[in-house]
Amino acid sequence: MIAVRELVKRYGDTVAVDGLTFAVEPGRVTGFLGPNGAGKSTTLRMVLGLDVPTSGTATVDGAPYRDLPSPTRRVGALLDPGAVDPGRTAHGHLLWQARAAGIGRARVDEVLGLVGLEGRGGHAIRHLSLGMRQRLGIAGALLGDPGVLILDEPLNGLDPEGIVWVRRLLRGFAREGRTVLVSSHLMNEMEATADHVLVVSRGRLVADVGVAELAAGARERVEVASPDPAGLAALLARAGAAPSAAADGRLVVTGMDAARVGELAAAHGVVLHALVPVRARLEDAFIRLTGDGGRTPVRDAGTAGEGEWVR
Amino acid sequence: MTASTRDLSGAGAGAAVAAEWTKLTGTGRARRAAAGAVVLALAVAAVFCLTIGPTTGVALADQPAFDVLTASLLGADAAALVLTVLAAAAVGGEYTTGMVRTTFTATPRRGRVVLARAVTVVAAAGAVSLVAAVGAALVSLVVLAGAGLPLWDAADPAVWRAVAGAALMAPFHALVATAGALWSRSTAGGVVAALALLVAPTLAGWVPGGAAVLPLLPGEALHSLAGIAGPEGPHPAAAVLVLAAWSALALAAADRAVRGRDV
Repeated sequence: MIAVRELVKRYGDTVAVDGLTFAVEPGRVTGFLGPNGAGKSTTLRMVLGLDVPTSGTATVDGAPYRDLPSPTRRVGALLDPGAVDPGRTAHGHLLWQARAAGIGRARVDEVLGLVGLEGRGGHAIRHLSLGMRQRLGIAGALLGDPGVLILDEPLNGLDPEGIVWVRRLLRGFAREGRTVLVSSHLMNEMEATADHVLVVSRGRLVADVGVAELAAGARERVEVASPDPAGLAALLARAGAAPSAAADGRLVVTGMDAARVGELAAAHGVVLHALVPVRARLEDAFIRLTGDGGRTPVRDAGTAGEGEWVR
Repeated sequence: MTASTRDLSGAGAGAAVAAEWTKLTGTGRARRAAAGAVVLALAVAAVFCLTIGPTTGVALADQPAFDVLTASLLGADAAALVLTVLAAAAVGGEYTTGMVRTTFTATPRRGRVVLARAVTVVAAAGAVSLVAAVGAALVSLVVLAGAGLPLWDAADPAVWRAVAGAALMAPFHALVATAGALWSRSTAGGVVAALALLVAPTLAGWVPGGAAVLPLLPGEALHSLAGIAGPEGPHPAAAVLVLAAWSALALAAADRAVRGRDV
């Protein structure tokens, strides 16, 4: 289990991580979500003892990473698959890491096979594709057969087959009762991968919720086309719905389902040309949670979304 | 969960040394560089032996055999320069690529990494430069034999002291370069640190009263251990202390810098 308490990281006036508190439980895949610059990687670096927190604590299985007697056999991590010596072979890159953990050479070949790089051990890393480097990084994380897996954006650079493979791997890990924390800046990547999501925005936690719950909480909306949009809008507003005009002249209605919109229109003799229920995607929930969807770089610790799903 | 029932006792400092050794020497690039340093030593030794007449004003035939030997050992100095730059680049390269984060994730006790790197760089540079120095000495033997001149006496301890002393330059400066590169997070910082110590005796010679600090500098200490420092040079025991002190100082600075900061 990973436990983060009141974690803060400041760089001068910039607050990268602003009082994060969360726990990552074993037995499920936890997605660590947020726009680029939300503080995800900084948080993971602090969990791994690479960066020192300004305040607060991060522990794995009850102890700071630096104090774990055999850290890479408890925690497997991949932060940046590009942070390798391109002149080294895939095998050589894993071998020195194995040596540091007191792991035998046989395990190196084993993990190369696990990630689908068998036969490529002798290749220089510079000759590996982006996807293969991602796999090599994951192989490094698996070396110590760890109970905790921390992967920063593991789906980056992978082809569809690779994405399916990583998902299977993570879900398999979680099923075995291990702890899996996977960051991503794309909600839809996590929809099919994570059981639980932590959403951060500007260094703050804005959601700590099950994926199913998040989906249930996402509001549905109805798109309506009518020759009399103004009249229809007034009618819907009187009935308690919240219509708004879309760019194409249609109305987007929230707070009322499609059946009720149709009934209202029929009862008042308003002609409808289209009536389309639109199921809200998690992506929408994510963008609403993180405010502007991450287009503005993190500058301060100001507003951090509505926080309606924060427990 | 299988992971919690396994033996998770610490991997220890020996594992860190094994990892650093694999990292430093386990590439084709490193092995080619080591071979290149030895070849350079032989070539430089040959050049200095063959040009000893014009460069010293005393013809080869009139040189004592021991002086031809010490001229050839400049080849080991050339190898030392190469090994010093390689040692700095090994650390600087990790910071450039970001691999250092993998290093400190694999071994989060950073002092252990610094020490392991020091041990491996001294061992690797020492081994290569010993080969280079012996090879350079053999070059002087070939040159003397080729000219039909009397050879130096292989049973003379002074010969092997000179060879071993010449071989010490590389591990010491590679260690300083490693520490400097760790401290500065760059190859350049490591090279500058080693070069600074290398030219310090020359600089001291220019400053009034600078001669007084000469015995405290590593250059004189290395000459003393090689038995070529002259009568006013430091005692070998003092020389060992001087080299140990500089090594400890460099490592302590690197250790302190590496522990305290984010990577």
